[in-house]
Amino acid sequence: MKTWMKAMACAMGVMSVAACASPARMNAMIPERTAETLIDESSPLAKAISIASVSGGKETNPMWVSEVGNPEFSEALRHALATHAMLADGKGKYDLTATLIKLDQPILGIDMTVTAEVEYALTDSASGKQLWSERVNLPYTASFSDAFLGMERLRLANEGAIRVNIEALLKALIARSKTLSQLKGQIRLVVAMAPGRVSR
Amino acid sequence: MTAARMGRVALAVVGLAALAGCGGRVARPVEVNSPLDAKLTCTHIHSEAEVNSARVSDLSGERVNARNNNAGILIMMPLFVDLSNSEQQEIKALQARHEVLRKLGDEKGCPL
Repeated sequence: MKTWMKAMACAMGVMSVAACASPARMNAMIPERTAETLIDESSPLAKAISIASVSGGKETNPMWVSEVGNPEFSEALRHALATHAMLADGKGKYDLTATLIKLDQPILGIDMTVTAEVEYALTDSASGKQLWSERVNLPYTASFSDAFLGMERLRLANEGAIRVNIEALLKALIARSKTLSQLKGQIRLVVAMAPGRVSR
Repeated sequence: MTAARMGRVALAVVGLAALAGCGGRVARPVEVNSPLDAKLTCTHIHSEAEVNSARVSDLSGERVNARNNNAGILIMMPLFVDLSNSEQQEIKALQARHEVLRKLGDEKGCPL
């Protein structure tokens, strides 16, 4: 390869990763509603959840790489619960905590894949008893066509990783609430069918 | 200038022109009409409208940041100036969605 072509390729490579890093945007971390995440007013999750704490996020250093900060993550989570009609007005029946354990980011890449590992826990706000917890570990890839600049692409990958993670949380909560509802229904049925039970 | 050198210069110019304005990102506008709309409750409609206003503010902030970054990028790497209007497209989609939500709210007896 001729020297000028090498120099140009090198310059393009450097430029594609150069720019100031900006933090993940709240707006881009809110998952859209889907048929799987739509609940009705009879759901035990309807307006029942409040956010107790969000931790593990990092502030973005503009001279380094894009990160997911706690305020943005918390806002995205709150808005995701709100658009899914799960966010309580004030103190909810359940408290949700989210801890960003790890944000696995590439240093360089054409397509950039970021994996976010988040631990969620749901507690009964009255008793403080933990009802459910799950660690969600999911990747998201931002492709070259999403953004030309490496820094921008990494931010999009971070946002996507949190977005799919929150979506997985919503699905897990709905699945858990359905199991509990079915279990309660079965218990009621068993009690109703118990020998010696007199219906009034 | 020799023909070979002129060819190289032309190639470089075409390459640089192709990259000009490469900053920014692709737009991810919200769906204005969703097949799930008929199933939305009043809580869904009101919450989404509130969240969408917050999203518009967030996007407006992003545009301001992009403008500020462009000032620096223009000096350092003029090819990577963000000339995209992704935020504007997303804001327009959110505004159109707000209209749909307003109509849905009226239909369901819970106006925004």
